[in-house]
Amino acid sequence: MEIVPSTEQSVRKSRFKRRQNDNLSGLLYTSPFFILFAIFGLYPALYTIYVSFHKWSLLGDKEYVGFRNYRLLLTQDPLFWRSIRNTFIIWFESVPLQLLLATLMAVLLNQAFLKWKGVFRFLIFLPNITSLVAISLIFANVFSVKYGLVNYLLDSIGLNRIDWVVTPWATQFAVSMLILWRYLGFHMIIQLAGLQSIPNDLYESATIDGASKTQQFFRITLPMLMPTLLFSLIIATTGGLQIFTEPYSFMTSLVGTGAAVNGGSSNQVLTVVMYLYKTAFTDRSFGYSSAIANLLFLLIMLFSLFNTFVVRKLRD
Amino acid sequence: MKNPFLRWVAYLLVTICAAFSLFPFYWMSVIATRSAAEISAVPPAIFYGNKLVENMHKVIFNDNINFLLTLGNSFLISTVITASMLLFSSLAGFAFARLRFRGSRIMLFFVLGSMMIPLQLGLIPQYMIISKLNWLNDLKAVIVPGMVSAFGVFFMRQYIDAAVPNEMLEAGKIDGCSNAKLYYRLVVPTIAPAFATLGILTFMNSWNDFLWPSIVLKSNEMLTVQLALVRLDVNTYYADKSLIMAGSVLATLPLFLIFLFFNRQFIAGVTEGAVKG
Repeated sequence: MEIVPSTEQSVRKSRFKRRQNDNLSGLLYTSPFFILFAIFGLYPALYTIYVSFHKWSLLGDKEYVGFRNYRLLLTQDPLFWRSIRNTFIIWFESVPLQLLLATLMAVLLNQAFLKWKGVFRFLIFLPNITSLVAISLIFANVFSVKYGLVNYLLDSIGLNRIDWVVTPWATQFAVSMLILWRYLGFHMIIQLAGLQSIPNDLYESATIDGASKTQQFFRITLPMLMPTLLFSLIIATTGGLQIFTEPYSFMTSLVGTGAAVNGGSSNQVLTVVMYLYKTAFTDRSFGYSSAIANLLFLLIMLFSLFNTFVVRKLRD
Repeated sequence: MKNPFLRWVAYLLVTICAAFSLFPFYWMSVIATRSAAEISAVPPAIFYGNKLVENMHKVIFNDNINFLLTLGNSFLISTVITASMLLFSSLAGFAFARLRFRGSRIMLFFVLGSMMIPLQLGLIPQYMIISKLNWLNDLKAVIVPGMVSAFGVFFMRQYIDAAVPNEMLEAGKIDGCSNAKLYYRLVVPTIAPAFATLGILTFMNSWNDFLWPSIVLKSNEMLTVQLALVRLDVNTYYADKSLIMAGSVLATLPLFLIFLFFNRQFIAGVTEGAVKG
């Protein structure tokens, strides 16, 4: 009778010790992330909010201006709205088709009859591992007005050459193709992973019930794939709204560093982050640039919520 | 699919897509084997030329840039970042998935929320911090901020949650293992595919990073290979893009080999980790 409480006590004691240990290890193991994030993530983010209420050129003092930067951006800066429009145009020309193709490829590569799956998967993922410097040069070369392959092909089938450098829609199209091409493989792998996590017995019982392949696709595959599609969509949206390196280095290869900052002769591929970069590092208006950063952050949040909402609706 | 026609269509579609993906690589290697004059010709050269050795020589013994040195810099940066990312992410992921500690829920929420903050939006204050630390033109400026990320931590948490059974850890605890011992005896051996996946993604991203290194690294000895590429043709009489392409081939080759080697583990890791969350 006396042994029971004493073991219980020792169990409780060891449990207490265990919990203390877990508290300590938990803090210790997660601290590298939180320390680095505080220095290089959170502090810069808060500082950006602070600076956005000031007029500041990095050299002089900061002058408090209240909401003026935001007011100017929203009411008197056509270039800011232009950059938002460009970002959305590039997004719409690349992402929907990209996700559609990625899903189609994933479904095909998930078929039992298809051979050399590994090879196809490897080839389609390949663009993701190349350096953007090389890619933008290749695209600039392919879309070059005088010596480019695309114009050569257009010529040889009797169509007019297109000036990819100055025609707004053409430059936007070229940048969109670059983005579509680069991340197709990434989204395909994600969708493939989603497809492989769908349990096989669902299909087996559907086959027994006499459902056709098409019915199975729309009743089982598509609904079960929704979470993965949402994951891809959120990544493509948050990434797409911040698109910078692709249009910037493409324009650098086409027209040189100085002109690339403006995103083309009529600012046709000036995206929001490119405009942010230009106002900060070319115009040296850091307060204004920080205000753009914060508006963009709001926009990203808004779209992430909107995406989640739409997919929830679709699922119901 | 029993219908042979549909099978044929399926093969056709994947082949077109694969060709579309492969083509720019092919184009890159074609230009790398051509002279500057041959690139600017009508019609454009579509097949391999014979200037590869000459171009490679011009790249490696460049007047302006010590290309091999910059390759070494990139290798050092990417290796250190990848190693520390794997260590810190898996430790934090283990803590979030399997340890019960005070504040863990709110801390995990914080990790997720921080993924929403686009890091390049804080470029200016980040630059100021680096210059205060006196790290400008120092490889540390690129390495330290990249040593662990919210994505890495979250990815590892998801993977460990799905792949490391609780019973295994409980058994270890009864045997008197400390948490550190549980981590390297039981967790680490179980999550090899996750290491491969996160490792490849991290190595790839830091190898190809351009924006941040271009802001903090300026002198020719401290460049990464990506920054070096665009400076290869600076001293040539007219901008010789074939040099940049030959350099790009050299700069892409390491990633190509790594990916080829870890392809299978990489896919396995994505399937387990990214989706189950």
